[in-house]
Amino acid sequence: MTGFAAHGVVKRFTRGAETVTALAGVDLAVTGGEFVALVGPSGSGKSTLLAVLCGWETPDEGTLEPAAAVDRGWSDLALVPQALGLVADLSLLDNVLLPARLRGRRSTTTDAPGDPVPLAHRLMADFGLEHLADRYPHQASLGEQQRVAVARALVLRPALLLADEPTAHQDRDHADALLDALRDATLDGSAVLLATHDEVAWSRADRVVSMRDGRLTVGAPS
Amino acid sequence: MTDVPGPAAACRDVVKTYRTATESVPALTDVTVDIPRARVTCVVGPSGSGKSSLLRLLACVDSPDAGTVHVGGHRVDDLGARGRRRLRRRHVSYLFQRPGHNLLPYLTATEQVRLAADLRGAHAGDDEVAALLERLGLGDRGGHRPAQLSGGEQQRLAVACGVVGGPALVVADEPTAELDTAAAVRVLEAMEALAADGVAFVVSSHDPRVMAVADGFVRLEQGRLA
Repeated sequence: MTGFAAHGVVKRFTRGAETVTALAGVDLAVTGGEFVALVGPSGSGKSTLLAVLCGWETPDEGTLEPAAAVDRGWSDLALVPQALGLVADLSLLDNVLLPARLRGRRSTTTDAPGDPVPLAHRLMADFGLEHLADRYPHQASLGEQQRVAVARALVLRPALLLADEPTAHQDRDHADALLDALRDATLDGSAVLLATHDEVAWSRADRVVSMRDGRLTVGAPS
Repeated sequence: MTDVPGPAAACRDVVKTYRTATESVPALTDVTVDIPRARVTCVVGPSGSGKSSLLRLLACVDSPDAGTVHVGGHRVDDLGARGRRRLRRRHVSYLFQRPGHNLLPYLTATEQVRLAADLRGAHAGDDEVAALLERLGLGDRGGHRPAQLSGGEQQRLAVACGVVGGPALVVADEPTAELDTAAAVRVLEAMEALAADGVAFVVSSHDPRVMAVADGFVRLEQGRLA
């Protein structure tokens, strides 16, 4: 069973004289092949939880399994950050293939699932991007850039995929295409955790967990 | 460094005018400058004097309306956007004012440097990357992502990405504007040391700390050399 688990995770931030508890003891496990939607109002701690899980932030208390090691490759952990993080000097296709490019440069390559180029092209076609392969990020709309970021996350079929509002800039058809692709990844064994306000995404998930004031509860918010 | 004789970059009689629907705004008029190799050149002048316009030309982001621009021995002003992009990738790096804007949030420091070299058509081996990070005081930060680094560390990492692979020119737009004094000093010390090794920096700044390490100045007023 691949996937991950967080036990009793607490994260506090200091803002001037004030200490804000962003995560107040979060327990969450997502197994390989499972698609979980993380929902909750803005500022409730969803993005902080994703940041802790991917190792960008260190929890003040609690444990993570596997440990949020700082040097996991894209086939272990793939991200769709809200900021997207496309490389300005790479074409959209090359941005999708960036994880493969980085994997080729890594000193310790572990698993290498075949040639990623066909999957990259298929994802771009599924996301309505095939005619934009040679364009650069500044020549694409925000929605197109976001779809590139999702394709980039999927191209190595990661063990764990964390996505922060990946359908936020999409119309319904494109959002559904992204959700279909994320669901397909779970069929290949990926564990997918999606922070989202998109209620259609909630209905597509195996489970919904709700964040409010740094605490997690089972099910969608009432 | 790019092995060509002469300055790292040069502008001759450059004119740049920005046009809106209702007016034309002259940004640069008859500007001629050489940016020497192995130096920190500081572009100074009041707001609106044309500093950013000059940096955009040197960084191959923009092209002039008249005059010539050479970077790393290559003529740039007659290239289209695609040609400038290709040349920029190989020969120019650009440091933004905000440290986080220079880095990809999901890559470790080591991966950022490797990718920067890769995009420049160079290969940076593990030893080279480690040595460069060590030199910039980031020897124990190779596995960290930007969110795990301070602003000063992020900007020094951006400098590492900027110089790896030997670009002809490193263009930096107010690189210390968002750093406290201690962090700014470390960034500037790094730039000074790398310049001594042959890197050409051209930096726009109002910061006296930057001016203190500059080897030369380009002074602009109302788009003209002052």
